[in-house]
Amino acid sequence: MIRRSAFWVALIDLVLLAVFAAMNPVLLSIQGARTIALDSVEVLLLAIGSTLLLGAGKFDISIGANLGLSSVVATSVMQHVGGVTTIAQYGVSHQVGTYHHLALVIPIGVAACLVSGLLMGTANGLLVVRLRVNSLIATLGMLSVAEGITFVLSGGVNLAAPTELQSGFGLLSIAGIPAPVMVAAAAVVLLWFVVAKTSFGMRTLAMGSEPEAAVRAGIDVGRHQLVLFVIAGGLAGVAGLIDISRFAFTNAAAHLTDPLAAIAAAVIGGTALSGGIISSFGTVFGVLLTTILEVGLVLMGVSSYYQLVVIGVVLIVVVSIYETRRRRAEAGA
Amino acid sequence: MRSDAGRSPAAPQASPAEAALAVVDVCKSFGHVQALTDVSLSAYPGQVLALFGDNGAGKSTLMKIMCGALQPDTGTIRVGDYEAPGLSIQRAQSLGIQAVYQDLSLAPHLMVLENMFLGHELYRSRWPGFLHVLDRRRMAMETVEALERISIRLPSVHVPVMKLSGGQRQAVAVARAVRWARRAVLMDEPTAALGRVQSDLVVDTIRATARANLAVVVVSHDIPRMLEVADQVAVMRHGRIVAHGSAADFTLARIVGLMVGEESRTAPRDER
Ligand SMILES: Nc1ncnc2c1ncn2[C@@H]1O[C@H](COP(=O)(O)OP(=O)(O)O)[C@@H](O)[C@H]1O
Ligand SMILES: [Mg+2]
Repeated sequence: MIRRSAFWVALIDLVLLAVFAAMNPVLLSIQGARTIALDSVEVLLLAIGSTLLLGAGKFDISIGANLGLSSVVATSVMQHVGGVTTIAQYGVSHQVGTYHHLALVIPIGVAACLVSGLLMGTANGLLVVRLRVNSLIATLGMLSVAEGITFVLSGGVNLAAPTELQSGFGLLSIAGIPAPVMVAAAAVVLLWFVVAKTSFGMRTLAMGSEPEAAVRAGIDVGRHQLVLFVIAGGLAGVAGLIDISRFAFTNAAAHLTDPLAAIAAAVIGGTALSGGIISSFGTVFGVLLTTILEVGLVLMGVSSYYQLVVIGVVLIVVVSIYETRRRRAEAGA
Repeated sequence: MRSDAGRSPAAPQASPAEAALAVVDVCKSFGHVQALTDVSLSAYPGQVLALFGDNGAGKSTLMKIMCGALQPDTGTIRVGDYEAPGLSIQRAQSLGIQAVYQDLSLAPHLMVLENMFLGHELYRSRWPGFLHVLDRRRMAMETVEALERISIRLPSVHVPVMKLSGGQRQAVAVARAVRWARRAVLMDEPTAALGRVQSDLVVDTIRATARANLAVVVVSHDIPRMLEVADQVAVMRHGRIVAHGSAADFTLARIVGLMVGEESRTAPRDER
């Protein structure tokens, strides 16, 4: 069931890993593997949503802002209920006070994070489906809206979340596997199952392949697209929860370009930018590609900003290869 | 606005006196283009209605209105007991109407069997129903059967439609429409991409479908071949029906004359 593109990207991952490991063997240690896996989790969750949307011929570039907003909404709510504030001195955040009523605060925070993500996904979906706004434009607008609300809520400060989220989830490992990685792995399996086995997946691909065909088959394409945006938004909410659970502080600004990495990873993995093709495991290997580059470059002492350059180049090369192959296949048909 | 309320799909009528599908005084325009003007047309169970007209006459627009893909601006659609100012696709399908669209409306990335069952998926009973886990094996078997029923054999039903030839795609679209129709099959130029032998197969399919007491409406430029199977003929010109009657009253020359407007609009027509 693994597509050829996924196989090739996995191969590139291995080569990259070997190259970086030759320079710094720590990458091949358990700790190295854990770092790569953990650092992949948030973009992977965003990439799973992007993969589904791309399969249906849609985009959501607001999922990074959604992640940030969800984490800030959740933390604001938790601070309010728990009697905590955050102040920033010289750009560094400090928690003022200690969290009370943790048994109440944490479930409320988790719920707020997920609801915030789902609501923003719903808003995106309604804009695209009801108002028929192009998904790129609609989610670009929502990106801006979410960024603004995030700033208003946080005052531009990285808010302090309860450290119990770290010990209870973000930094928790079960049988050596970090809990956030388990969440992401479960999401991948679910993505694969839905795409490969269910009519939901097949219909998603149908509407990406030829929207009119899906409409004329009697499928409620609008409702289906709405559900896809809600799923992508919900996954961004989960990613936001993982973000505050790992770092105990929000860092909304750091995630604004995450959707670009997520969409790039999906496309590098073989999911078609124009819809109709999804490569579930390709998305995983695409995300790993971006993480291996980041971790490898950092270990080499190179600024991780070069990662953006390299990913950009890889994306352009890969897409041009796919396009050439596609055109050749269509000419041959 | 449309009102689909309060009507339930009726069983197909056996009596030839009652139309399986009828449009009454339908108008449709696209911006400044008046595609249909006061069109009334009925298709009867067990009969083949051939619809002729030059390019742009409004044939496809009429077909799309009859299968729910387009809503008319004014007029009425009647399907058995159901009567409304328009049909949704879902309503048309639940009333047993299926169409072969001129553009085929297949999803090129999906396999043949997936296209055949899109919107009518079969699920594996071993899994909980809400998961909608596809039973691709049964879908493949039934797709092969549906294709065989119209005497088509594909090397595999597991290939994406984009890998098929134009003729094979057309065959898939025809087989799909026939597979799901319970009342009427509308075919918009079903032989356009086909050679002689395959066109004959489509004509056989049309005949067999009508024999199963379904109404068949077929749009085609292959007038002689369609006259072989048609019971009724309608000719369109500039968005109007300019002649409508028993196929026996029509010859190739008369139809062509009507299509290009050589015969006046008051030419004899069957008022049924
Ligand atoms: N979606 C549309 N938008 C604008 N004009 C249309 C559309 N569909 C059809 N038309 C116009 O309506 C007229 C009838 O078209 P059509 O029904 O496709 O004719 P036919 O199938 O007989 O060739 C043509 O003038 C065509 O250009
Ligand atoms: Mg046409």
